[in-house]
Formats: sequence, C-alpha cells, structure tokens
Amino acid sequence: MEDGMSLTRPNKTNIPLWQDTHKRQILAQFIFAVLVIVIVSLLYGNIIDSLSEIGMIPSFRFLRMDSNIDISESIISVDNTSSNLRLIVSGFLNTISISFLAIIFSTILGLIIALCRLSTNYLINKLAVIYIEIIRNIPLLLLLLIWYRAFFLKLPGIKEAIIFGKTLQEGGQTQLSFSLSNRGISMAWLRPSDHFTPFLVCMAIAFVVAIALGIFLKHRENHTGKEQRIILFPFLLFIGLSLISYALLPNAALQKDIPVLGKFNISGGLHITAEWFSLFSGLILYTSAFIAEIFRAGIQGIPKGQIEAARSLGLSHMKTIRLVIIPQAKVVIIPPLTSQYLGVAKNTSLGVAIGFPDLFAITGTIINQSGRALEMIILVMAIYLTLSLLTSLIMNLYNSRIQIKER
Amino acid sequence: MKKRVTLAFVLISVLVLCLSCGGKQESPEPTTTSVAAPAVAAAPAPVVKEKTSTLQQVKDRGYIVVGVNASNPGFAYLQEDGSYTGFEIDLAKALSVAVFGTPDKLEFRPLTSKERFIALQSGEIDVLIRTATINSSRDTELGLDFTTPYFYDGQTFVVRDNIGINTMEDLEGASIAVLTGSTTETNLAAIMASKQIEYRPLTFENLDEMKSAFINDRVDAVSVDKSSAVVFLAQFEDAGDFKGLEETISKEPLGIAVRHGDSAWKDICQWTLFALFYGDEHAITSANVDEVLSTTTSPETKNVLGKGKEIGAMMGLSNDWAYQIIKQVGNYGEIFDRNLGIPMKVTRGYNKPWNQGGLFYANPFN
Repeated sequence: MEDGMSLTRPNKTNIPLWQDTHKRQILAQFIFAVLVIVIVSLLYGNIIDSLSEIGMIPSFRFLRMDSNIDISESIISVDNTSSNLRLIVSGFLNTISISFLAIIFSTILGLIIALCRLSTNYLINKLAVIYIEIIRNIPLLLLLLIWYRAFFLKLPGIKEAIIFGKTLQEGGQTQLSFSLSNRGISMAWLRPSDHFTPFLVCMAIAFVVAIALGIFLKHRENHTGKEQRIILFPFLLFIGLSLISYALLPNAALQKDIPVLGKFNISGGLHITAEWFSLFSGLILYTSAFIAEIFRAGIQGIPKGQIEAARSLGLSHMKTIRLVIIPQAKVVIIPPLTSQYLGVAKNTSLGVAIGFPDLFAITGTIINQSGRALEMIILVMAIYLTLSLLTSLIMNLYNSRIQIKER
Repeated sequence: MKKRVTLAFVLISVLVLCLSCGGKQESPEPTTTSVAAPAVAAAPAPVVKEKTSTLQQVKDRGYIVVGVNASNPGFAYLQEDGSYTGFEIDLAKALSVAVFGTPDKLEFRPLTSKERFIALQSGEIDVLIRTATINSSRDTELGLDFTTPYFYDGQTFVVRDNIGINTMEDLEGASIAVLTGSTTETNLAAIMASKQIEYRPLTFENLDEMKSAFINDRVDAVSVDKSSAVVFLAQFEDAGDFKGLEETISKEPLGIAVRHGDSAWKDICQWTLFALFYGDEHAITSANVDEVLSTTTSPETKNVLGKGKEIGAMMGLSNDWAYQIIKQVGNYGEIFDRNLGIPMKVTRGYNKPWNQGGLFYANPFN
C-alpha cells in the first residue's frame, strides 16, 4: 500500500502545472471564461454609464406600455392600445408562420427542381440549370423588391380586380368566392363555428383509434413477416372517422366565410396581402434554388455501384430509390439543408423593405417609438438565437438518427 | 460544434445576467466602469464621454456633424452632384456660420426616421435637423433636448381626387400607408381609434416604396404632414389626380434636437433660430443687413448684429455671429421662400413672425 502510494504520488506532483495537458486545458478554459466575463461586464458598465449620463437607465419596463401603433397584419388581434410585448409576440408569430410555410414549400419546389436538374431530358435539364444559376446570383433583397414592385403592385387595382364567383345579395352586398388584385388574394374559406369543440373531440378520438390500428398493423408485420400498409390504412381510417363524425354532429362545426366587396377593400374570407405573398413567394424562389443543389449533391454523391447492386438484387426502380438512394442521400443532405432552413428564418427580416410587419420590422418601430434601442436589440438577438438554435437542435436530432451506424 | 454552442450560451447568459442585475440598481460598480471607459474606447458601442462640451468637440474637429434626411425635397435633399439642398440644410448652414463664420463647415449624415434618434443618443451626430416632431416622450424618455419649433406642421391625408373622399370619415375601410418610425404612424392609429374608423394600415420604411404603393393603387390614401403632402404632390406628373384633405389631424411642431444635458450647445442652436426669426420680424435681410447695421437706432437690433451687448462672446461665439448668419444665409423668411415657398408652393401658414399673424416669436436679445 505504502509502496503504491510512494510510486504514484511523486509522479503526479512532480509534473509542473504548465506541462500537465489536462490541467493546462482547464486553466486555459478558465482564463478565457474570466476574460469573456470581464470584457462583457466592462462593455456593459460603459454602456450604462453613457446612457445614464443622458438620463436613460436601461430597463424593460417599456414592454408593458402601450405601443400606440397599428400593424397591417397579425395572427393575434392587436391595436394601438396593445402593449409593446404583445406587438413583439405578433411579429414573432408572423416571422415563424411565414418561415415555416416557406421552408415546407421551398423544400418541395427544391426537390422538383433537383429532379429536373438530374433529368436526362435536355430541355428540362437546361431549364433547371438556368433557373438555379439566375436565382442564386440575385441578392434576395433585390429579388423581393422586383417581385413586389414590378409584379404584385402591377396587378390590377381593387376596382379592376380579377373576380370569380360574383353574386349580388339582397342587401346590395356583392359576395365573391375568389379575387386577385394588387391588394392581395381574397377567397372563400371555412372557419370554425361556435360548435367546433365536439368535432375536435371526435377528431381526437379518431386520431387515437388510427394510432391504435397503426400499432396493431406494425405488431402483425413483426409477427407474420408479411408487409402491412402501416401508414395508409390508419390515415384512411382517421379521415373516414372524421368525415362521418362531421356529418353526424347536429350542428355544423365549420362555417363558410365569404368575402364581401366593400367601398375600398374586400372584407371577410381568407385574405392574403400582397406583401405577405411577395415575401413568401420570394423566399420560396430564392431558397428552392439552393435546396435543389443540395438535393442534387446528395443524390449524385451515391456511388453508381450501389444502384447497380440494388438492381442485381432484383429491387424494383421505386424500391431502389426508397431503400437505397434516399437513406444514403439523406446523410449528405441534412447538414447543409439545416443551414438553409436557418437562413429562411433570418431572411424573413427583409420583409421590412416591402412593408411586411415581421419581428424585425416591428422591433425597429418599437425602438423608434420608445427609444429603447439597447434593450430591444438584446431582445431581438435572443429571439433569433433561440429560433435558430431550436431549428438547429431539431435538425441535429434528426441528423444523428439517420447517420449511418458503422460497426 | 458543441463547444461553440455552449460558449454562445455562456456569453448570452452572462449578458442577460448583467442586464437583469443592472436593471434594478444604478450602475453596479462605479470603480470598474471608470477604468473601463478608456480600455474599451475602440469597442463597437460608441462612447459618449461628454466631459468636453459639444461646442468644444465641434470646434476641435473643425466641422459640425448634422443628421438630415436625404430624400425629402424642399426640406433636405441629396442632389445628383452629392451636395445637399433644402430648408433644413440652410438651418444647418446658419449653425455653421454661428460657430465657424462660414456656412460650409458641415458634414451631413443621411438618416432614416428610424435611425435618427439613436444616432444622436450615441454621439454619432452633434445635432439633428430632420423634421423631428417635438413631443413629451421624446423630450424625456429619449434623452433629447429640443429647441422651439422652426416649422409648424400638421398631419393630413393625400388621396385620389376622383373617388369621393372629402373628409376623414370617408376613409372607412380604406387601406392607408404611413412611414414607420414617425409620429405620423402613432397619430394615425390614435385618431382612427378615437373616431372609430376601421382602416387597414400599411407601413413602409422608405418613402419610395410608399410612393410606388400609392401610385399603383395598392393603398387608397397616404398619411403625411401637410408640408410633405404639398411636396409629395409636386413630384407627381399627374398631380391633378391627387389631392390633400383639408383636415389636419395633429400638431407637428418640428424642432432641432440635441443630446440632453448640454445646455450650452442647445443655447447656440436655439439663439441661431431666434436670430433667423428676429431678421424676419424686423425685415432684416441678407440684402439690407449692412444698411440696417449702419442706420439702426434700436438697441436690440444693435445687440443682435453685434454692436451692443456681447451676446456672442457669452455663448463662446464671435460677436457678429447673428450678423453673419443673416448676411450669409438670410433670415427665416428668405430661407423659407428659397426652399419651400417659391419652388414647392408651400404657403407660410403659421410659419410667420408673431407681428404678421404667425407663431414665431424671437425672445428678446438683451
């Protein structure tokens, strides 16, 4: 025992601190952390000093004050008596809703373009190349401005709007089912009525039943080794049960919301403003060009031997794609795709140029109206960081799940 | 990758921690902060160490940095050759004459309405002359000081002539565009809410985008200040198709803004304005100022023109500062006519001296 101690101890203590790699690393980390804290607190103290000199001590109290401004579109209801915080939330919702939809649609469009790009048909192939090269080389801001000013604003005005399904009601109201003008798109829409809750309950039950069926089918597949339609049948069951419950319920769960032509604008129905649609379509056009190239890289990165091997095993064309190409392509595609998705969320901030009230536009206005630049910038940075880290986290989790496990 | 994320978290949390502590108390440790200032002078946050007065800074630097608009014809406009012209530019020139004796010691910083106050707070500019409406929250919360107004404006609407809009009530259900970050935006929201008129707002950051939305009939009306409405209309080729409404929905007194807490510098801006008003009140123009100087018997006029009390010296300026302003730039009326009255057909309205039925009143030079 004593021998052992005397053998190991001198060894450990004899190593000087600057030669012990492990300790050195910890020390370096510690010094760096201290340095960061010192610099940040110095900066902070300096800012506080300067601000209090002109009588502005930073505080977040202004978030609870009335905003005094109206914004053009919002998912939650806001007016000029809403607090600044509520306005920020509304801007945040605008940002995430538009980026979420843009991500989905640009992925679909990107996939289609990538397939065109891989096509052996000369015309389709070259058209895809031209599309990708042109879009990728135009700055997004320019694309948005062209799209908004040269296309959407040049659509017919509200008086000459393109209208379908126009009917004159008794009260002198003009109803319509679809209209397109430079104010945006209005169309008839279904909205939840007062009797929506029972239907929601029925849908939840249908969902649970469908999941149960899915589990049962999976179980049977494992048991018998026979392939089952695990996705299709539960899905059809869910749709079927929902439709039956809708028909059987005494009060209609959804009601029609039909647009009405007013003196200046069309009210009611689903209204998509020209600004929203410009930003949305601009983002899709721009992002899909990048995504198409990512998909192409992923698919072309698979060695030809893999496909030949699949064929020689007797797999059909669809099965080759589903079981051999996609699983391997995904591994290459996901990381760069994540960066593209992150980019979409940040690019929505360009909506400020065309009058779309996203998070950035609204915070800019609040900064100006309240004068709280420092606080707002910190808040916006924190929100965008959270959003990006969240997207990144989801994609990384997915990525680690699909990585090829090499044993 | 993981390390970096952690690092980012640490950074942010430290920042947030600092802030949440600091919100409650005043500057946490005065000893460290005073050491801090020189060490981080080159850091991104602009340092507003105003131990020396703005006047001294300006004199040391040799020119005044003025925050202006670059795209507001008549008031301040960046011309093709890179020079600025307009009413507010001439006010800046008067300030330059007061401090340096010549009208060209200026550097113009074009700013949007969003950026303007931050630029002033952070010390990037010395003075802001950019159609800034004076109101209580800006005066107190934003850490600014304003001179008395140099222009009395009011907000109105520009609409198409042929769609039967004559009063504000006719705008029920209309789409209305405003510039974001202006008092126009808050006034519009307030008046529409109080009159219970439903409308659809559309906010733009840039005047050009707003104009093109209006011309293309994306919006039914544009809400702007009356003076801007006249200028706005003057730019359209088919201006006959548009009109401004008679109603004025707000008071918009425009003033020169400086940082809070430097009253010597504010005095200079204020009395420069008063000198311009005084010239207008007493019909002292750039053409007759020499004649007035040699013939006047009024002690106040002598004070203004530098032959009586040493008013200039008390403000740290040369004694003939006001004489030079009127001689080189002209009085208020001349500046108005040159930039707004003659080319833009803006009427004087309230922007006249008190003895001619307006609101300008130069405090006595005694």
